[in-house]
Amino acid sequence: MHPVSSDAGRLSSAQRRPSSAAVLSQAASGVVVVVAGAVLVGWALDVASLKGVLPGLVTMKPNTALAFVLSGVSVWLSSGGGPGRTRTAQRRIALACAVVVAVIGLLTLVEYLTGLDLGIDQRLYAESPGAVGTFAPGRMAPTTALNFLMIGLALVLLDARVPRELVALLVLGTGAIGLLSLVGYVYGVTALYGLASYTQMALNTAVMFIVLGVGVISARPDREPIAALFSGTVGGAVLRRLLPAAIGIPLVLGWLVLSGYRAGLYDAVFGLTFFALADIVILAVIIWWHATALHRADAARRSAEDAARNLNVELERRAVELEAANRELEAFSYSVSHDLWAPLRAIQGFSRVLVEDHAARLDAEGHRVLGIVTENTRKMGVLIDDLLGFSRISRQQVEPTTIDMTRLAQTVVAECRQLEPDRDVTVTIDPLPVARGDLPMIRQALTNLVSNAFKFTRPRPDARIEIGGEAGPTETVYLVRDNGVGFDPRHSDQLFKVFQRLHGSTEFEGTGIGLAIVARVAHRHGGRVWADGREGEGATFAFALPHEEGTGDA
Amino acid sequence: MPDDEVEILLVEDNPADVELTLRALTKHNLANKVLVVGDGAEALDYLFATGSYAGRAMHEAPRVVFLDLKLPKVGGLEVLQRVKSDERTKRIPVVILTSSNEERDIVMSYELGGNSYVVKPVDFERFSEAIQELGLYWLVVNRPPV
Repeated sequence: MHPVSSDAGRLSSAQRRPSSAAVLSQAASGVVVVVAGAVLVGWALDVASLKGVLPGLVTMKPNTALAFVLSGVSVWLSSGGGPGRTRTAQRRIALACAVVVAVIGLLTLVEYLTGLDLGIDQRLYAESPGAVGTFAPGRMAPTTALNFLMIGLALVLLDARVPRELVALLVLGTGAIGLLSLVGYVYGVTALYGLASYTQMALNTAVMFIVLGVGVISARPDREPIAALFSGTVGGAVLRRLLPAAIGIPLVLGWLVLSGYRAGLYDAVFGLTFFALADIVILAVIIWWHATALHRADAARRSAEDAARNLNVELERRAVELEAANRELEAFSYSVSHDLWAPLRAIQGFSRVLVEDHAARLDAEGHRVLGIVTENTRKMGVLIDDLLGFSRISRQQVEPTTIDMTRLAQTVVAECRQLEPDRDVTVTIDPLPVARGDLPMIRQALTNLVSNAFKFTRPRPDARIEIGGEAGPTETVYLVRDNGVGFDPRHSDQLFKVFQRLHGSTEFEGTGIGLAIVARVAHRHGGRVWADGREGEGATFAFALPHEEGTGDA
Repeated sequence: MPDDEVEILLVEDNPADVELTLRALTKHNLANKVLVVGDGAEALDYLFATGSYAGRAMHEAPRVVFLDLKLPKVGGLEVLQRVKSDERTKRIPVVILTSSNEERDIVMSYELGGNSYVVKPVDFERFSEAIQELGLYWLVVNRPPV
């Protein structure tokens, strides 16, 4: 797994994108490969200016250049993304290069420690004896060898299960020795880039180690203790802004002061005092400046946090309000339904009494009008009944159990058949996946769908109903398909709303609550419903229940 | 009303429902043995021979009680609980006759020892039939303990 490409997607925009670290890493390794490659060309064609930076300075040895090219390739491959298979191949090549680098460093160190000549120094290109700052012809400096051993190990262990600080320490060690040598060149202190009479580290070698260290560090920007450097946190900002200043300013200042001293402009005491004061002032100003910027950023962040917290409080308050409103509404619909019932029964009952006891005094028109009263009372009763059912589905607690859906479907179909025993309806029930849900609710939903299918296939002499189901990766779908009168798909979003009907009540009886109940049941299980159909060509109604226990709506 | 004649105690506060219930019972000549009380407190007074019914012979219990749940003063469920938790009255069959189709009301009624739970049908025909069947069942078919 490659952290750079895989993490980029889920990081917030507030954080520094790790991809910039990958770009840095690739740029650094590219520079190393190009520069070291040029040195190798210099050795091949014997061009002195390519081997060393200035005449009179020690050259970068062929083995050093080779080790740099291999290190650069290793870093470049380690930081580059790519599809899975190529990435594995890349990782293998990167490891192989790293091992070779470490071995070159190790063998050279062995040569220094034992005094043996293993014959590796002149293997690529020969160097004439007596070259500047060179202990044995073609042999790299001991510090360079140590650095290659460390950076090679760091690259081998880059993704290994070792303490992360170990890799960081190896890289920082390499960079520190490179920096030390660079400082030696800048300040003209030979002891810093050459030990005793041993071969010195070349100037370009020192610079390359620093560049390489940056490349390795930014190849894995998400690892502690490097992560802070690339993070969007205040700590990251402090590191990025102050670390270069802390290293660069004393370095440059020291060089300036030293140059003045060597030119005889002032004595050592003055120089040192000036250095200390200038260092203090410049660093203090820079720290102050950055701290002010960070302070502003932090203040802005805090006020944003406060705003978010207030918003949260407000949201919570709204949620509580909504819940209370919902409860009130439910209590309202419950009691309305109940209290509407008794007077309705009275209207109907006493209309009946009128017919039974006082029929003689009513003429034909009186009977007709009374019939309308009775019929509408009946309809009102059905409406209240449905409203109560819907309200109950909304209020009841979902108590999930495992439901044998095939058996449930068989039961429901048998019930529907019983209501219309004279009809010949072909029903096929596929083996259905088991459901996890509230049995009474699921049963109600399935009953509504199946009874709808029975109802809307009534005009068909060859009525067919299919009940199917399929367990998907995240949810299980159940569907009821019929070859009934269907519906215009343009209105499919209307179907699941309370009291919405697509057919006149003279065509098909019903109040329009059945599908609303199906939708409510599905939603309370955290699932969903949908319908598919065509006018005159049948319809399919489906509901899906999520696999994990859905929270559902309130 | 003479105590010993009461076979059905109808606890119902809605006068229309009372009249319709009595009408349905009349058709089977069961209405002359019905005592109607309008709230839970009066029902308890009758059943425990207290208050205005003090002095009634308690051992002469009604054959069945038709009990509404939504009642003034003392609710139906409380009446049921009091009747069923008292040694003297717990054998009296109590039929809950209510508009409530709520699962928790049904469960609660059976938990408290209700003998039957009937939802008043909204349709008068069916309501009438249900009342007649109930009356016939509890007064004619059912055999109470002696």
